[in-house]
Amino acid sequence: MKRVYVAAVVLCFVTGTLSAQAADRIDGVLAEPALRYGSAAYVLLGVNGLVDPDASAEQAIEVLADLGFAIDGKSADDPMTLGDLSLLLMHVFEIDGGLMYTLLRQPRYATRELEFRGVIQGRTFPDMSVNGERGIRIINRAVALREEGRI
Amino acid sequence: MRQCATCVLLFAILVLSSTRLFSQDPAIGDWGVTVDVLRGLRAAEHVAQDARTSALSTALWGRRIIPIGTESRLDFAIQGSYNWSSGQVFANLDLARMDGLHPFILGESSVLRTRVGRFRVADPSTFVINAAVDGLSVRLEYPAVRMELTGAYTGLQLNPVSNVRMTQVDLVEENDDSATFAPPRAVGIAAIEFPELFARQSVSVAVIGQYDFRDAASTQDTLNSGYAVLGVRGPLFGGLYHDVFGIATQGVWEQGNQSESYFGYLGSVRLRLFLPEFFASRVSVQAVYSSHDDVDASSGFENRYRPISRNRLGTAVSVALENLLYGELSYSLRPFIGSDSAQAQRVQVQLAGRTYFTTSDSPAALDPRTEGSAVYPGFDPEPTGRHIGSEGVLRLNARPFSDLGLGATVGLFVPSVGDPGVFTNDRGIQFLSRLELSTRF
Repeated sequence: MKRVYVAAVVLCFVTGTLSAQAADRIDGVLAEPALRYGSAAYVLLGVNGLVDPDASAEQAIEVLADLGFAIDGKSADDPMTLGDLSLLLMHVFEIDGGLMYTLLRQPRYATRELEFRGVIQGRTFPDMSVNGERGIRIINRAVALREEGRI
Repeated sequence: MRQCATCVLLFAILVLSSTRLFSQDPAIGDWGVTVDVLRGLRAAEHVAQDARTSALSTALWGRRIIPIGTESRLDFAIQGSYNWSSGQVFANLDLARMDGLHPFILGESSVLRTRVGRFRVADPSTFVINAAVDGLSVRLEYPAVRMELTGAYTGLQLNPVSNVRMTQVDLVEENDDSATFAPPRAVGIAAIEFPELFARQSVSVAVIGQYDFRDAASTQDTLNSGYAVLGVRGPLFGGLYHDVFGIATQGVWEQGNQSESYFGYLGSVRLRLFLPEFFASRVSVQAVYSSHDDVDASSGFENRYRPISRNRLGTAVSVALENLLYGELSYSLRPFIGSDSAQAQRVQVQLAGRTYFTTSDSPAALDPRTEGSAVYPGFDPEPTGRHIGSEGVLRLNARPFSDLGLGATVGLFVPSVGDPGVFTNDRGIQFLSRLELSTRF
């Protein structure tokens, strides 16, 4: 099953030549017991063609900062909560949120929006930790729903 | 009351403060606020003045999950609401429950679930009880069988929110502002379900008992009853699903020195067809029969099916599920599902047609609150027919944002008068319109 996520996410990296190193990176993200900020930034930006597949986690965070989406005070190895991931995903995928998200741009409202749109499934709390496999699965679902025009 | 408030406070402190319990995983939780607003209009040809209704309900909820060890967890949920409607204002504790989840305790494939506090309980059919109660529930799940035992008390619920109405005294108290709490009854449910027992069909069996804690007096009637429920549900073919339920009930009614035992039964068949590729269409056909056999000449007690919670049917008219043969055909679709706009995709239109008959020559059990009186206008005291009438309902749902829902409902009830019906010509057409807005943050 993990290989399916790897293949699906890697296919979304919109560069000409995809290195085996990038596939190994995704494999590494899948194995993370708690999804790291740098890994989330790398995958989210990668599937949107905003970062090179061979870029480091730190470089991905720099791109996030340039886009104005970086999370203050977080370093590349810090674990992500579901709320953090949701907020990044909403920003990078340019998803319109509900009334509260539009007003406050907080992780809890980003989480609820993505749950409502079917991007996040299963137990959903903004402050819960996310492992690498679930993180990749969520990003993968967002890609699929965008291709269907549903987000 | 003070003890109750202390319990709620302690519960809230536990839920909000605990971070971990014998586990490396941290607790997780969330909270939120919901606001629901309703504006309605009821009009009828036989009633001189239209009735306009307004209601506002706002609720604060919280949830906390605390892991225990590696597999088990406790799940706390609490919700309090402030409710305002034409003529009534009250605050209510809607929910205060602690769920326990304990996998593998009673075998490799077992899941033990416990629930204590204030929660909603329903039998497999929802035709016997579907009500908020205070109590305890234990559920043991294996792949081939699920067993559940529930013990509950209904008398701590506030009177305006309770739908446990079985006797004449219960119905009188429903509109009595001086009654603070709901009718005091104990309810026990033992249910067993065999999921996908044959041909993907799941079979449910339940035994339910309820006991009235009040003493029968000359002006107060009491009723104790038991129920047996058998149900089968599952897919038939393609997107077609069905559920079939049969319920038998036996009970004893008492008032003063009079005592009557009674028997009743209910049967229900429902077919649902899902057509996701055709504008996300859903078609539903349902027929329900609830018995009414005779009326005791000396006591006036009616020998009929009596559920524990009086969940009403209908939109423009409100009919209790007693002494009733009821048929419904409904169809819903999302007409703009192919649109580029996500907001338009979520618009849903629902059409429903319903028709109602009594199952005996006795009057139908209509809702005194919507009728405006316990003596229903236009009822033929000696009806020649059993047709109550038919109604059509159009409902529009929209979800422009994930945290904003809008709904509009229009319903028209045409009573059956003359030979086939239960009404005289004095009864006219009834109309209802309703606008709803709900938001959460």
